[in-house]
Amino acid sequence: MKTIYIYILFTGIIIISGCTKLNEEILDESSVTGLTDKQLAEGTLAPVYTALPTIFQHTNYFALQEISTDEAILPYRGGTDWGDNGIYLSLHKHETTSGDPNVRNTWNNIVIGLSRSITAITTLATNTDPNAKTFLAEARGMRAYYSMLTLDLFGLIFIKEDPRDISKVVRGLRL
Amino acid sequence: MNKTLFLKGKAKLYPLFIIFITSFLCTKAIAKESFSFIEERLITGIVLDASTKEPLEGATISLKKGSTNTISDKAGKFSISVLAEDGILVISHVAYATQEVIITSTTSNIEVLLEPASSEMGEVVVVGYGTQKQKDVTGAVTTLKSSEFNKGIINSPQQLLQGKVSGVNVTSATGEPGGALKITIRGPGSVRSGSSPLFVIDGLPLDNASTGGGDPLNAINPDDIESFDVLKDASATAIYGSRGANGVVIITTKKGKAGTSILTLNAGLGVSKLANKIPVFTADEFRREVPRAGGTLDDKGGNTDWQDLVTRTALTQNYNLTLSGGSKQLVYYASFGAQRQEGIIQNNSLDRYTGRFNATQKLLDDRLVVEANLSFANTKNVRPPITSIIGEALGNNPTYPAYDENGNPAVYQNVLNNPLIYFDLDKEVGTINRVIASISPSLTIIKGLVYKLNFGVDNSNGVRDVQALGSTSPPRDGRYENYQTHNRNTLIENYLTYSRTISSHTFSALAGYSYQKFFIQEKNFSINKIPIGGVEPIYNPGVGTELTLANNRPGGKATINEQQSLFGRVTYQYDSRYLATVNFRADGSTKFGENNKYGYFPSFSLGWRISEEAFLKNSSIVNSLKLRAGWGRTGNQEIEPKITQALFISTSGSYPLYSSGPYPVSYSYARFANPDLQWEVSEQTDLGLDFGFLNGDLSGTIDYFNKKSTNILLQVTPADPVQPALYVWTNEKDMIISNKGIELDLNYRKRINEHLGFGIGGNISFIKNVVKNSPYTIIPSGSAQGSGLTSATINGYINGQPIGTFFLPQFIGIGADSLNNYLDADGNGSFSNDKDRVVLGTGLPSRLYSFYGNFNFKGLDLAVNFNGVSGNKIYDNTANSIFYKAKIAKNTNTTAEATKYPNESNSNTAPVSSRFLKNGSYLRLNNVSLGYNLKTQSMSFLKWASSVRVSVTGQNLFVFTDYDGYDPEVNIDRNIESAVSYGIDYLSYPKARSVIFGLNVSF
Repeated sequence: MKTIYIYILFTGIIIISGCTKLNEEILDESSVTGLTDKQLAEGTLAPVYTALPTIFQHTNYFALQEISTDEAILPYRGGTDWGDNGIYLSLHKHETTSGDPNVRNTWNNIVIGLSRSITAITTLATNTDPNAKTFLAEARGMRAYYSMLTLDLFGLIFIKEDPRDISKVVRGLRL
Repeated sequence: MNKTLFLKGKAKLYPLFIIFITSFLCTKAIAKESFSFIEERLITGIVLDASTKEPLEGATISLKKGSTNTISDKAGKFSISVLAEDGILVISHVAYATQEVIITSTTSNIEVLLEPASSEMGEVVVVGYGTQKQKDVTGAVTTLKSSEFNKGIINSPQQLLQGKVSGVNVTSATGEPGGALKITIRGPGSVRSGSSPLFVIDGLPLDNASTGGGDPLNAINPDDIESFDVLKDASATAIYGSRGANGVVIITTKKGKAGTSILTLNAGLGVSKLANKIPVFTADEFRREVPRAGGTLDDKGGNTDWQDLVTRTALTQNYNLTLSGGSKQLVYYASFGAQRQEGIIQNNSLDRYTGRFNATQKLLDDRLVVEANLSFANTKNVRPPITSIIGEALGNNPTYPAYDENGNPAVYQNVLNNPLIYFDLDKEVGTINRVIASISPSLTIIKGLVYKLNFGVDNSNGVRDVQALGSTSPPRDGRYENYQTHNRNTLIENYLTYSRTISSHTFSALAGYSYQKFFIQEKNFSINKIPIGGVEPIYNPGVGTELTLANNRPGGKATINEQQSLFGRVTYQYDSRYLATVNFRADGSTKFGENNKYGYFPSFSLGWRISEEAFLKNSSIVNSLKLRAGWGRTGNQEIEPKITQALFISTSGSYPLYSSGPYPVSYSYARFANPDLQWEVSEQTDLGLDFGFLNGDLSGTIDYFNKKSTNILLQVTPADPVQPALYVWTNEKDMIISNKGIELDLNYRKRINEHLGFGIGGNISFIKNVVKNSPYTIIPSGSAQGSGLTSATINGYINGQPIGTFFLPQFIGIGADSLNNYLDADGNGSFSNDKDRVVLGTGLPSRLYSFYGNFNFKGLDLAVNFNGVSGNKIYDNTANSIFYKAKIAKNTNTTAEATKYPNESNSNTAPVSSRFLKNGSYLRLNNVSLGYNLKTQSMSFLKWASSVRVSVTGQNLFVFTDYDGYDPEVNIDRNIESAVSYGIDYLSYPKARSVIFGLNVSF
């Protein structure tokens, strides 16, 4: 007789141990919700500008433009200078390789700014905040500015209207 | 009985059923009663090993008919009550062939000689959710028993396995006590970390996440481990589904045995020294080399060997106490262990205190068996800043005296500090407490049908304090950091097993459900500016005086990950000759995207015991020959959590959008949702042959395997660069990582006479690893470290090449301009650092091999273990960053490697190139152990002890290698964006050479 109670107990445990739907619970990040139109309008335009200081850092845009044109030099005299695997010497000699971190960082920051301006344009188009129209104009201006940077530095322009689209690449004239 | 006329259909069976049950119960009662009317008598006897004539303890003696049984004691003696009439006694013992003895009415005392079974017969292999007899296994499974483990100072279980199982590559990252160990089975199948096998301890699958420092398995006392079962091929690991792609290592801890009561005491004392010094210049050589390199000598008149000063002779103590025993109804095992290990670098130590208790209780006439396991471990690791100390010990000027006139470490205004300063000012203390517990009742419902329930918990808490005190010379502020880690793994699983034998058909079936939840949390905080000479911030962080969000922002992260699975297995054996196994598992995880929530992992394998066929059955040469073949699909679910979910958050930085007022908060997408992300898939085919010749004396296995990993998860730059985040996670559809190879194991043992015996053997594995169809020309990995090397990469994942490939410019000598000359690989007339890189070997070995020998003569035993690898290279990042001519010209110490080229300019750069790529093959005498078993009977004060053994063990006595760094077994983590690096050595902690004296006493 006792064994029957044990059988019942075990079957009970199978049911209790439970089946779950396996939805991922994220504990340390949360997407922001419940923003007002004003917060959303301001919040999508501000990040468009925040990439700018990093782009113009001395190791990024400044180094790419100044050292490659010999307006500034960064020599290596052995041992304790900025040897950095020869990236500044390569800039001077116009032999920059694809692994150059300064080129990569400049590029990354410009395209992030470009991506954020496109996101801002699409979000602000339907925003009802009174400043939304001005912000939309600013976002379009910034998109143009970043495209000018990519054209000037790399000879490329990315044409993209919606963040979900694939960009169309247009190349500048090679002079 | 009349009622049967009124019942229809199946209902007619119910009364029959009731009658059957009651008559069954009644017969049992009658049988019991009649039993008492017939005379009982006692039969005594002794059980001995047929060849050694040693008494066998723990043999089971039972009546063939009936349930009486007993166990032989320490002296092999037993006594059993039997009916006065004739009967048959069955005597059996693990690893021996079962014997039957007919007892007549005159039998009263018998002597039973048991023959050792050939290794295949009695051995039982743990295959995941159950066991199988070795002879019935159709997958590639290797069992390693505790007598075969590596000996010496052991920090974590992987060291016990190193070199012992073919196809398994165990590499320590550095020689640091408690340091992480990388273990791959049959080659890595992933670009990211997550090539580690699944570890299962007493039925609880563990998580491989870090527990706060060092290798997470440091918490397991190696002396508690009875055996490892390594599941290598997919037909064996598919039962673990999405965690089986990298193989499974099942750890079984020691358990008590019925009929015995044992108390053992083990004590060991080890002495360790630096095995191999790096040959930097001595003070006199330095005085000669600096001017020769064109530099101005800075000579302070001293004669310092910095490496000697920062290392020491380290002492390690190890104590273990175990109690085990039990009766037929209850067996138990308890152990307490303490190991206090000093590292060979000063101020480095690792202490481990462990306790374990397990018990198995049988109830209800052996129908209910409850196993309970409980273990706790406390590890404390104290370490100084290792890379700074090693870097400065190697590079410091040997003419600088180490101490000033007051006996304190001298302080120099120099690029390099005196490494001795760190010992007073810096330390890191990490304490981890871990509890692993499980309870599993199994109930036999009807004969052959067993239901098992398993609850398990693995809880770990770690705290790590990193303290850098302030000082005036050298001038520094000081900083204190604190990291807390909490890991919890809970498991609930239940499964039904049914087994049945009908004439020559044997089959079994398993079906089960498992749910496991992993919670991992980390938190940290810090504070700057520690006042000099005051309280250490480890005890009171409040003494720090500077706390800013810029430098001291607290941090943390937490993830919950759940997994739910259904699994099943069917095995079939016909006439012990034809074997088949089918495994299946369906796994779902919260980490997988919505569109791919569940993965399905089937496998099947066949076996043919050729030695049981009529033409070989009575052969005296061939004892066992089994051919096996299997195929399976498994998964690797070591993927990042959260990557399938979108993330829209506030980002740092802002901009004034209005002419006045506060800056607004910025929001942007950090990640778009990707519901297609899933596990990595691995498909493996295995073909194997197990053999045993000459009465089981010569045995071995050969395996051929072909493993393909697909759906490789990578974090890559998206093709369209205009994205909110720089990297996107994707399962590459076309990319394949292929591992193909052959493994060979061979063992020979011979017992020459009752005093003398020996065994030799070894294994060798050939593994060819190739990356195919990668859509990327190169995925770089292995970022170089050191001044002037920022952002240089060493490894690369390239199509047609193995994982861990070195992709470097090829150095071809010093040119006429006294500067580096590199190969112009694309022949365009000039050298460019990216276009002219060449594939120059890999950090992965293509051959792993090992051999062992053991020898025993009377009470003396000797065991020798060698292991080695070849086909791999090592990138010496240490030499790249500090051993070149420009350094010696500036009074920084180097080795002779730096002055190798007399015509080299002393302002020549040292970028990443093949100049620092070296051969990494090695053969190491891993451990040698010599022991002597004292004859306790003749020694008066020890006669209570059943065995006393003294031993001396040498660990890492020598290593044959061309590599001139500290040790060729090295693998520093230099991952780039989750792509793992291989074969890089940068200021790695040197390996020690140790001698350990041991004493084992059993009562």
